[in-house]
Amino acid sequence: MDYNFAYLDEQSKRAIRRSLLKAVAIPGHQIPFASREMPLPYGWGTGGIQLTAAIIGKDDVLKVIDQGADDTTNAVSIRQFFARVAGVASTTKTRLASIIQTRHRIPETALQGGQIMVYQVPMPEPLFKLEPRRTETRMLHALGDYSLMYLQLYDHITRYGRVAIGYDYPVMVHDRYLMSPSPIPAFDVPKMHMSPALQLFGAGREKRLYAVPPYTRVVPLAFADYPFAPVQAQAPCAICGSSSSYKDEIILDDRGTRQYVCSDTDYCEQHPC
Amino acid sequence: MLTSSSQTHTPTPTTAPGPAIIAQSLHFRFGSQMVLRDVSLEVFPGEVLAIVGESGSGKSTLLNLLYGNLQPCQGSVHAIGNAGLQPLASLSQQTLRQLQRSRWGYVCQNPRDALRMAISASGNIIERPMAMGLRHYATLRQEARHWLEKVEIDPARLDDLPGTFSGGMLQRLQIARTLISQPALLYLDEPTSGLDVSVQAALLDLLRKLVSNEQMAVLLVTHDLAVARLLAQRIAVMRRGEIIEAGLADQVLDDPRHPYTQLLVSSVLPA
Ligand SMILES: Nc1ncnc2c1ncn2[C@@H]1O[C@H](COP(=O)(O)OP(=O)(O)OP(=O)(O)O)[C@@H](O)[C@H]1O
Ligand SMILES: [Mg+2]
Ligand SMILES: [Zn+2]
Repeated sequence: MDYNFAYLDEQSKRAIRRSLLKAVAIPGHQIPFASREMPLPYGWGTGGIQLTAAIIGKDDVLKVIDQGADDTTNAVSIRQFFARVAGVASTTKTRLASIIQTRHRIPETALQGGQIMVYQVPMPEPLFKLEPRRTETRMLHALGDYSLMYLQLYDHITRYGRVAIGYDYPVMVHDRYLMSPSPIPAFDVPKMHMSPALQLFGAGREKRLYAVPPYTRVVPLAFADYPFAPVQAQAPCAICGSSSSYKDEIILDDRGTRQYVCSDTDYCEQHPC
Repeated sequence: MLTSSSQTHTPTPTTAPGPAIIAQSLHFRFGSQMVLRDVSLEVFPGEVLAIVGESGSGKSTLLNLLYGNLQPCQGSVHAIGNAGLQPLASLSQQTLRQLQRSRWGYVCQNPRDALRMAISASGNIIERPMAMGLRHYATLRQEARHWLEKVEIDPARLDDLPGTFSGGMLQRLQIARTLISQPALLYLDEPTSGLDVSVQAALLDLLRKLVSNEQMAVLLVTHDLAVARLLAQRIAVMRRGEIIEAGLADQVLDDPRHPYTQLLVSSVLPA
């Protein structure tokens, strides 16, 4: 069977790029887009795949990561998909990639100007769990009324002594819109702030996309006396020794012996011992 | 001053002794049904105006118009804002919401409609100052404790969910959550209905204390003349969408002019 370059037809890609331009012009604001059926099921990042398909060109070099790793089934199949439908080169090296499609992580290696991050987003609405009515959340965004989310943080501090949100930590973008950073660990959120890279977010099932342009303020919600403090890894990486990276916890035996290793496999390989 | 005629008032500028809210000749309909006809009123700072009348006479509808949630098909409402009296019709939705949660307060009959049942009692109390930009946890907690005390709820209940509270306590919580921002204009819609008589009495007592302490202008909707007598200096009697009699509370209750008011007073207020 024959595909157009990058699978989607030119008209669909143009429509998505138009929505992306809107998204870039209003940082953090969710824009509806005509999400297409993709040859992969929803949980597999169809939103991110469509965004990548809409922006990728012959000369791009694609990196795909899932939970920080380049070699999971999800990452491999997305990379193979683009190799087949667009014939573009791919890499596992963060600094060599022009487009990085990701689920659950931001690479440890600092991003550069000209690079584009494409995040796969299951639920674009940060207020979804607190206010399920779409019409109401749209109103709250329009009014910039985010007390609901702050109340959630307040109750967390009261109950647990800290804000117990490990993933998908709510952020304010450009001092205006509350945004879901996608289910990346809170640890990664500071990497979004003033990043030189363009950051795009696609939710296929929810048919929404949004963006953070380069050098944009991305600030996690917090209280003055309870500043944002993501949980740090407890030990250096067992493989490369890095103490600054985000770690996966590996249980070694049934007595519960644990080991911590970098979740970013590319970073771990390059980080000197 | 309170009239049901369509005579016009000139809104007075910002500073103190002028009214906190002026309604001029309001008309309102739901579909083809005329719900309010030519309603005018004023309330001054430090004053409680009770709007009484039978069920369906249009009290709640009037309150919603005065609060900006409904728009009149004729007439106007001027209410105290950040820059003195402002015509509600000229406010953007954003400004209106901002005024509603900073300068005004609305207490409704069923506290469950206003409270966030999934958020702790203290969280419910501090929502307004937090929404206005107070982002210091310890200060917010102190405020919550202070207001819990003011509405006479056991401080041990500070972090309980509202679902574990009794009806009377829920209403106290709603009052604390509303009064914390020290509104200039307070709207009360049947704040004590649906409560046991003894609970009602204690709550009325509390409301009287809180309301007399502040320079608040209060609009109190009730079908209970005893409540009106206890809290209000002035009373407006509504019937079928019109104010048929208005005046000082004692005067209206002890010496009603309109036959309908006479009926109302004699049937509800035992000697
Ligand atoms: N949303 C609505 N749609 C249509 N008609 C309405 C609506 N709300 C109220 N009405 C009608 O408007 C009239 C006034 O109702 P309103 O609720 O203001 O009366 P009320 O004096 O507050 O009564 P109650 O003492 O029972 O609360 C009634 O005839 C009512 O049926
Ligand atoms: Mg009513
Ligand atoms: Zn490592």
